Amino acid sequence: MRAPAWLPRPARRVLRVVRRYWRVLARRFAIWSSPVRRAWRRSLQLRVVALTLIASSLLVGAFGWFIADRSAKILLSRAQDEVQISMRNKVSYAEQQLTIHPQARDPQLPRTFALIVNQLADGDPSDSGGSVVSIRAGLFPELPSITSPSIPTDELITPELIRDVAEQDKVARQIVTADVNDRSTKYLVTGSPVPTSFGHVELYYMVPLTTENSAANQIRTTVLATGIALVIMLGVIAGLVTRLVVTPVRVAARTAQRLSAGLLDQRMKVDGEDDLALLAASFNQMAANLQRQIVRLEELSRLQRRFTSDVSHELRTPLTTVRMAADLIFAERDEFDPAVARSAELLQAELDRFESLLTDLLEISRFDAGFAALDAEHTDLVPIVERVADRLAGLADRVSVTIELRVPDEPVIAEVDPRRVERVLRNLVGNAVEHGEAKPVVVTLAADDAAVAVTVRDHGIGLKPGEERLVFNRFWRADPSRARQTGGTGLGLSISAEDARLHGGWLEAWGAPGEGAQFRLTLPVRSGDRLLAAPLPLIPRDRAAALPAAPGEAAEVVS
Amino acid sequence: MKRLLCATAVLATLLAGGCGIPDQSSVTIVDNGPSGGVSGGGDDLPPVQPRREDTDEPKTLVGNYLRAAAGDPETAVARAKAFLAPDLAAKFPSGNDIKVVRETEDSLHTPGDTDVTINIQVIGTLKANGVFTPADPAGSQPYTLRVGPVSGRDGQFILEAPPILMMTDRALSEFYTPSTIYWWDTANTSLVPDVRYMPLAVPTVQRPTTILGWLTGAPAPWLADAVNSLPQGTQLTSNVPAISNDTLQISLTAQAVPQGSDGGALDRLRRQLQWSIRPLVPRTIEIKIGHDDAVRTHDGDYLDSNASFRLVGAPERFALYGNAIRRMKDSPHATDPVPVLKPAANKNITAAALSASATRAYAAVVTGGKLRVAQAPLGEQADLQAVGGLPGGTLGAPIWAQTPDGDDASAAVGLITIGGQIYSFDATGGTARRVEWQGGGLGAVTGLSVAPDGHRVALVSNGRLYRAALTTVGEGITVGDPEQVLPPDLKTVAAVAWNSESSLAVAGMRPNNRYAIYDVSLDGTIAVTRLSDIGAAPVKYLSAYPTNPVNGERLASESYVAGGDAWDVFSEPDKIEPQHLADVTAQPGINPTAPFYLD
Repeated sequence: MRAPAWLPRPARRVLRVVRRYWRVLARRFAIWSSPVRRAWRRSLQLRVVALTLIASSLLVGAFGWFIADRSAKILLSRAQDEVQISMRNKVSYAEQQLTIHPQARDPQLPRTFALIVNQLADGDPSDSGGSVVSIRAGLFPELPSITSPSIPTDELITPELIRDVAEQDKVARQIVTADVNDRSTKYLVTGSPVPTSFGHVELYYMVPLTTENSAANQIRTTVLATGIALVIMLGVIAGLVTRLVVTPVRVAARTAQRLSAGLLDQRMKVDGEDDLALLAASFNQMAANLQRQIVRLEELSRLQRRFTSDVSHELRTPLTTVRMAADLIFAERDEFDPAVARSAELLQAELDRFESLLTDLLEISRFDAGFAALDAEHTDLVPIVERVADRLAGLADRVSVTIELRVPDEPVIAEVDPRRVERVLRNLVGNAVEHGEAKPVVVTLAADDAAVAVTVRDHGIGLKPGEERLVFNRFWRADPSRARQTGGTGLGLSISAEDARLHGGWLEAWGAPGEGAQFRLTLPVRSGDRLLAAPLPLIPRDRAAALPAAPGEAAEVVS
Repeated sequence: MKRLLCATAVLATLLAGGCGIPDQSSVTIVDNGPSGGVSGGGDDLPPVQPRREDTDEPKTLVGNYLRAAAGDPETAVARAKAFLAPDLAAKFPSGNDIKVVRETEDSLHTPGDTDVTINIQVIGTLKANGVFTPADPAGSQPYTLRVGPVSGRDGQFILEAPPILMMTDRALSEFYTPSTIYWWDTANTSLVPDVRYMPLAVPTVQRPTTILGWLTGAPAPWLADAVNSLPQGTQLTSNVPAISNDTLQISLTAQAVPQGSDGGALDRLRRQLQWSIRPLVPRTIEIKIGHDDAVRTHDGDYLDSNASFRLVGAPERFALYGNAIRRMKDSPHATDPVPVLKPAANKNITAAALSASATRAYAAVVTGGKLRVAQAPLGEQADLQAVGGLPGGTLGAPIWAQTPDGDDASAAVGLITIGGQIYSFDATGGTARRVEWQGGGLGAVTGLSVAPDGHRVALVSNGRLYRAALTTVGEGITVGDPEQVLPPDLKTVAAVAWNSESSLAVAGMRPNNRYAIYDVSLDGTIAVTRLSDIGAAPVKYLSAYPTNPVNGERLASESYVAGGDAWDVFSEPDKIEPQHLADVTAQPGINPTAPFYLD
């Protein structure tokens, strides 16, 4: 948030500094509080206990405050009522006593003052004791103020009270804390004018609120202690109850985690007949069902693979025999009727296709059975790329596609299985040529300290969104109706992806409709290293510069 | 989450500090102040106290100085010192007793001179508690007071003066009003008056408080043996408030009615108080003793506790005519027979006294040098009984001092002078007893009069007037130490009679050797001339019927005998003629004599 422009520059500067410090502080707080927040996010028990504590604190606090406040008010109002009645008697006594003084300058007046305060202070029924009576004549400064017992009353009788009583002629009271006899004491000070023949004088009655105050404090302490105990108890109860619920849930979570990790025989302990026991039983039932299903599917899958492998092996022997016969016929085709000769050629071509399909199936079977092994050695990748391009040059010529190589001048050495890498590249380049639509195919090789990458770029019809994942599926075709020109088996990219994975590398595809596609093979320089980045981008540079983040573009990583 | 935390923090703060009794609150108005209140007296303005600054004229300044001490006793010394030069004031004695002096001559001052000469006679001392004690008689003395300026101060000061706190008797009447308080006699049967002086500077509303202050103190010294003071430790616990709702509230310490005192103690206290605060007559008296509940008495009787209250407005009058008691025509019951005495016994009488209580009548007569007494229920007659045990000598006129209610004839007490000595007798004709002096005593007593309460006597001895208390000790009666009373302007005193509970009718010879009759206050300070000149013939006999204190300012009925004739004291002497008497045929050469009253 920026400071508004209409503010003067120094203010904005200051605001900027403040904002900066605020951000720093907020960040520090965030760092400091992150363990707490993490605990808050992760622990249901912590949340329940904390919320219970807060809610019960609010409730108990409000209730306790109400009780303590009410009882203090009641205590105070009782004291006030007592003082009020006592004050009325005192005022009427003082009024009577002062009737004998018609004039303020009567020299006997101070003596009567003293008599009144002594009599009122001595005869005071206040059980707490220590009450003070003072008489003043605010309107007659020449008259003395007399207090019994004789203590300074400057703190007790405030100027505001004097103003209300002496000048406004009101009965008024005030609570005042004052140091009397070196002890700080709360007093309820009540003042009343006393009418006399010459105007009025003021009588002040100061009652210590020691009893009421200590009672109020005791009530407050009791309420506070009870409240705290209650809140703690509620917290403990909430913790215990939550634990009752959370512990089985945690057990269930751990069991589910193990289950998902493949330990299909993990079960929860069923204890009792309550809701949690029901949960555990249901969970166990679900786990049993899942396990049964998974085992069955695995068995099916195994059978399928076994079947494929067996069928492939079993087909090989008759195929060899058929092949030998077909080769014989093919060699003798010139002697046959042209129509028969043509059939012999067809037979030969389909047998080639059958044989390569069978080879791919056997390769896939090996991967599925986990028998595929990496035969890694330090290999220069440049010759491999050049060899692949050479081998496919004939096909490329046939479809009017030029294969453009962009390889470094120096050798690119990596610890790879050259047979598999060559197979992958042959596959990728072959596909690119096949779908190249008579446009050039670019093969780029690059390397850094950790990885080598080869990209194969074509400018064919490209891939639709989502297809970059499907291209690696077995027997997948972008357009099933399209005529096969190269007679691909539909297993090439699947095998390539398995080869890349065997290396610990990535095989990724990118494509956009009408813009062609690019495949990237990334392999670690040292076998067994973990790949972190590729030396070449997946999305081609020409495309990325022209149209960044166009809709419909897709990229998929297969590793 | 954050909001929750904030709310919790706020709530915790509230809980910790929000409730409980606050340390400090704002001022809360509870009510309007009480209104009204008893409007203060302020009616009678006290006399203006003279100040030094009022005048620079030496004679007036000295006159003011002699009035300065009058007023509030506590500040009397300060007021007097204000007239004195600082060095003289520094030597002035402290103490609140004021010497009351009488100026026997006007002060002397030569115009232009700084000295003022005064001739003064000390007639007594006024104490702070209002008691005036007559002084031992002394002659008049001249004093010279010097008046002059003091450097650095404005006006004139008195530079030289006798170191006495004093005021003139005129100041006493100007700045004070006599106020009678009452004490119960030692038998708690009757109230005895005690005259005090109330400064007029004390506002009317404060006077009950002042009076209560006197009552909780001691009685006047000369009465001390004849009366009971309030129990030791009795004090006012607070001022006596102004009368409101016709109620007077009095609070006394618990000692006022001690534990174990008889049930009538509180009632006696109330009667004593009510008499003492007269002329204030609240209908309700509220007496609070210690921490007990206040005792209210509404319209309570109290007047009969003072014997003077029995005095009637128009007394029955008698006179001796031809040595027989005759009623006077213009007095009540003029046609009734003479009380008690049988007609046959009404002869050869030279002096007589008649008295009546509520139930009985008493007579004491002197016949043929003998004292005889009789008593009978009202309206009946009885035979005279001779009183035994009397020595020989000249018998004076008998007096009934105490005639209590009831039928016990021996309780009545009469007094008579025989040969200058006082004897007491009762109504049964028993033996007379000589009345002993408690102190040094006097010479021959020539005149004797007993106050209506029966506990105080006025005596004439050797031409001087005395007052004393009568104390009943066991069976006998004693007279307290007599104090001389100095009536103004009388050279010698010839006769005396009580004309009210606190004043005397005094007949005596003035400095011009002419006789006069004065009404004199009991301490001699105030004198009202009744008859200023009744000739040079000595007054042999004086009788008066005291006024009832409830009736206020009424002149007492008085009569005297001088030069063989009896006279009534009106605005001028009025001779009592035989035709003024009932049942009398005038005989030439015989005049009515010894007029007296049924008291």
